[in-house]
Amino acid sequence: MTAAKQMQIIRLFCLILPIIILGYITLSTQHKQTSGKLWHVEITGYDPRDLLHGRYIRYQLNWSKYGKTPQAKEALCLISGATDTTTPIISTDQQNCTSIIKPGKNPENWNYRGRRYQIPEKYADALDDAFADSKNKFSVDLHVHNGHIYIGDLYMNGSKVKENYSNIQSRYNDQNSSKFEAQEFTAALKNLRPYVVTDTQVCVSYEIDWARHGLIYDLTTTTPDLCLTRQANGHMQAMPVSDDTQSCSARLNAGSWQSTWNYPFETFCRNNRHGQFLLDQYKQDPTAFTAQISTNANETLYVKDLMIHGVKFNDAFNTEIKKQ
Amino acid sequence: MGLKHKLKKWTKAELLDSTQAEAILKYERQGIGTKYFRGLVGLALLIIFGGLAMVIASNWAEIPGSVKLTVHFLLNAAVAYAIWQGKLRDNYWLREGASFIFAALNLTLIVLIGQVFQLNGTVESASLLWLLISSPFLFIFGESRMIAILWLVGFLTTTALNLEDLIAGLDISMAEKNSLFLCLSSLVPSLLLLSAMSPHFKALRPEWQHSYLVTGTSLFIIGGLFASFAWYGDSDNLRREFAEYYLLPTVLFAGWAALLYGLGRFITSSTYKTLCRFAAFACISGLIAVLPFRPEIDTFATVHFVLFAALIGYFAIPLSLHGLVTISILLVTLRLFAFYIELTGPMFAMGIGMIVTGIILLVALRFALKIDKKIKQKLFGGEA
Repeated sequence: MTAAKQMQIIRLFCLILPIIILGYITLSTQHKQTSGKLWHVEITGYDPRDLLHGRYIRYQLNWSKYGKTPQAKEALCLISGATDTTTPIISTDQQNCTSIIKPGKNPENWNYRGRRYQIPEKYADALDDAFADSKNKFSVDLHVHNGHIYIGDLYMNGSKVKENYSNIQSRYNDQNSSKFEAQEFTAALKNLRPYVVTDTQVCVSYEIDWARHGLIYDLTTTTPDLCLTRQANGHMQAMPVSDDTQSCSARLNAGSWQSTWNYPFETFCRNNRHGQFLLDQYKQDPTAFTAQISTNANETLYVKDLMIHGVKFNDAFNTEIKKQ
Repeated sequence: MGLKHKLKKWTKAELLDSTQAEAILKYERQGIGTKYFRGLVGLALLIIFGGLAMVIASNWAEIPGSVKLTVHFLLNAAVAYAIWQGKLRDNYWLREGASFIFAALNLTLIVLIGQVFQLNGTVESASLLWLLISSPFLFIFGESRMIAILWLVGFLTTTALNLEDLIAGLDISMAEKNSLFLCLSSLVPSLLLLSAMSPHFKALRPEWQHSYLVTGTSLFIIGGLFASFAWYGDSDNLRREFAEYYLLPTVLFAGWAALLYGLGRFITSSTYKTLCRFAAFACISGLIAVLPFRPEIDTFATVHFVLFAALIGYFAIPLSLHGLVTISILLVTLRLFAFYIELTGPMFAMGIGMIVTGIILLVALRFALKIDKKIKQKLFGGEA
């Protein structure tokens, strides 16, 4: 064989190498995904609420529903249920397992908490809402091949999600279409802390005192969405959203990272004479401060202004200047 | 100003004779039509592909995974065939363009396989697989700088993503992991620079060799400059990160500096000699930053940065890299300006402070440009 011919063969090999390798990965994954033992396993969000980041759902397999899970570094032994062979039961008898799932090197196989399920961008918002809705049950098909997990279809309440994208979208988009009008309320404050930034700038950090608006909730549980109503005397009343029949003037979404209505530290800063006025007012009466908040159709909260004895900060400052 | 007018001006200034000017004009006239035509064909193809992408994107969820994968494999095969044809017909741009597209398609196919089969793969593993399967054909078929840069970007990204990941998986102590990471990552710029000095490599792939040289040197420049920021950290850091191996960074950087400087003495090419010496100084810059008992004085960060930036300019002169001299002067100016901001931080937060700072920056930049002009006039002679 001539050197030129050898070079031709090397070139051809280099060119088809990516196709051969990726083709092998595709076919072997396809084989593993269809040949291994099929299980149907419920999933939950990795964090307490919806966990959609762009185009995937972040989830973990809810093994605790199927028995006592072993330590993270141990293998998971599954046996078939008596009635439904795809529903697993976790067994401690490692000798008679229908499937054994290896723990993985950095225990990241059966107990990996950050799994992602790719979903189409077009339906992402609707699936986001559906996943966050505790009434829905999500599950996945999974195949176990040589101790490894291969994820198959995603199910919502027993139906394949990929066959019901349109239904889920119309259902959750209809819900989303009932938006609330923008509203303004006056909120009580707590934990006011003034601090001097520079010689000329003064800031006050504070939290909204939801308890003074009737809201009592357990911080250690999932942050609820809020239903705000206006009482006859104009005061704001806050309560967790319970169901669709609840009559609210406005609603506040807890958000993916639970940092909208319950964001702990808001700040209000002013310079020069305004800053000095802010500090003086705090020294005189810290309880005089309230906040003018507004809600919008996206169910998020904004603090519009800080108020002193029910008067907007700038108006209070101007009144004080006139007095002097 | 049109080419015809420019040529007339250059002929008048006796930079060109009339025969040369006519030849240039003739050549460019021939090329203009082809260039415009190619440009319009490219535009038409872009519109078609854009439309196709929009049709696919809006119906992406409804297309079964097997169809998506089959179409992608067929597309990859078609582009691979285009590379082959480009090589057979000796069509430079067909080969180079198709190689670039094939490399990009390999990456999108890896991502698509992950999506279709819901594999919880990482960016690290995807980039590593891409590099492994794409490197052979990129090197065999790609001769242009475009391909060399694509490979280098892929290589550096993959190295950065995977090195830490691979070391993290080893069953060794944290100090050993940090030591191994430092040793391996310090190899990258030196290996790029040294391999670019190989005459065989230069003969085989001149554009790749040039890209290696530029990338290796750039990494030394970036490394040397960033080393100055170590002065802001505390020196106990070495004990925390490297434990009993706390002297390793010092030994490592001193070793690299000695090796590169020594190598520079044996090399005959003046360019490579200068680059080796510069790389040795960059290693000394790293060495100073990781000295175990250095004083903790933040101001030294500015001094270190300014000196190294000046060193860049100093080494750029024998290499006739005028632009690098300007960058060096600009870096010195901006670092001194940053030092001023560090000193007068609270003042910067005020309106008047910002105005004064802006004016100082303008004056400093004007001063820097003047110095740049003067230095170039003195060093290179004539117009800078």
